[in-house]
Amino acid sequence: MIVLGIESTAHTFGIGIFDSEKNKILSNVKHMFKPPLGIGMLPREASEHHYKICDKILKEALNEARIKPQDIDLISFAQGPGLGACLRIGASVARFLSLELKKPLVGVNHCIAHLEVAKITTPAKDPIMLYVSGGNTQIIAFDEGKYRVFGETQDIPVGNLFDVFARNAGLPMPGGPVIEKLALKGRKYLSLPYAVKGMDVSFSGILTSATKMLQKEKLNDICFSLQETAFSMLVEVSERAMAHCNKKELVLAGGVAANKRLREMCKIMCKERGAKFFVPEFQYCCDNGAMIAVLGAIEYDAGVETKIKESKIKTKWRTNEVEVKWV
Amino acid sequence: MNILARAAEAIILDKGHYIIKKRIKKGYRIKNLDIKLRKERTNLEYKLITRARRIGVNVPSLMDKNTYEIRMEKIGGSAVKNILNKKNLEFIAKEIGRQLACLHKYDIVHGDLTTSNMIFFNNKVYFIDFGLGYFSQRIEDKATDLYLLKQAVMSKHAKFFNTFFNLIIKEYKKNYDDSENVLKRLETIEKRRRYTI
Repeated sequence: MIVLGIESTAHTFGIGIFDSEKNKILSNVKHMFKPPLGIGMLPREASEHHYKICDKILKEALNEARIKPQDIDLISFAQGPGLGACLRIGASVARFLSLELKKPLVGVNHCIAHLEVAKITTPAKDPIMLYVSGGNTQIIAFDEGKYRVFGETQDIPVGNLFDVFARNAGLPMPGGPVIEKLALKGRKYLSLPYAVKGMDVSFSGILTSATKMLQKEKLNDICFSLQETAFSMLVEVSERAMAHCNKKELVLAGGVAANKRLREMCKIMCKERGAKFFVPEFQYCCDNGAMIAVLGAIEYDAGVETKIKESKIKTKWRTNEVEVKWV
Repeated sequence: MNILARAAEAIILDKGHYIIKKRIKKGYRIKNLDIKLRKERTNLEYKLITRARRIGVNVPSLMDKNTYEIRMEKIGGSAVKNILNKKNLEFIAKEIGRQLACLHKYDIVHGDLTTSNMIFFNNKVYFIDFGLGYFSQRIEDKATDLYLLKQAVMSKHAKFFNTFFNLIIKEYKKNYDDSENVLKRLETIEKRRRYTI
């Protein structure tokens, strides 16, 4: 079965094509909306970007996979969670393709797609996933018949912490990579609020303190301390979740997974407790269409189908609300 | 040395009639942060358990401590996580609710209320691992405590969730005067999470 997956939950519009019989991703094309310096992402502008670029991405994805539109057997799209304006573009394209090609439609959960694509592209079988991006910070695992959130942020996601701090410090977006670079030159550890609550974390206090420090401390040192504190918290709760669920694998996913220091810390933690650590190839780590196609294929196999009238987007679709019929 | 358990941040050494909780070095975090967290948490945990014991909550009795270690009484039995069933559910829920009310009444926030951190022994429920606990009078912190318990029960005991958690809350209300405010705040916290309507 050839599945076309459409991702448009936030800044990225992506289309991926997955061959479920060969268990192979045929193409994965995406383009990311970048706001001008000093301004955050406006959902309206991001959706305009998606709208303008969607046909180009579709063509490229088909070309790269060397298939014709008629070869597609199933259309899968990210139905949520995400920004309404952005989700609507992906959903519209999906509905159009489904009606035009007369192929079934499946709406899938973005967060779970991250985990499922990791299972296809890495050796992980039953992992805990630390999913960190600009829109999400969750620790997810499959347990007792459902995907469950074992830990999450109680306020802002870690990617958002970096983005907003970068904006406050006059650095370009996305903030993560810039902060990572500056942190390499930082030496002095400045004490920031370390907020771990059970398996949950909270970042708003760090943001306030780090922003206040901008007036008196060196930017390199702040970036260094910001990363060390935030990542230590994330790795600590991941380890806690692994101990709690007795799982021996950790997968790191989401845009912040690009950070080398976070990868290093996860790796050390796993080594110390005799667990395995995996990061999918970066194109499957950040938001992408291929993961949507992969989850669509799995769900359709289990008999899930989304009728057009049920295909309304779900901007606040929690991971643990997804009905799992496929395991 | 006999390692009884290897938790996320500490190892528990079995010394026969007592145990040692030793906070181990974590290679992933920088030295400053590592030492600071281990020291602070060991100190605080010692204080919390002392206070909890004084107000009549079932906790292990303490022997002594040094920088990263606490020596305390060994409690037999097994974790509530492993033994919870239809028969003992009501009794255990009531015990949890009653004692949690007591902790919160005296401003102790446990910080990691999971059923792995409660031990059923001699027909009593013991609270262990105050490693993430702290003293606080804030309604917000107490509500967070309940929120974590709710999440943990929901994810670990999905089958019993409704009955079990409602019984805990019922008993909690009975024993704690300020419980209404805490429960109200719990609702707010749940709404504040990502992706809730």
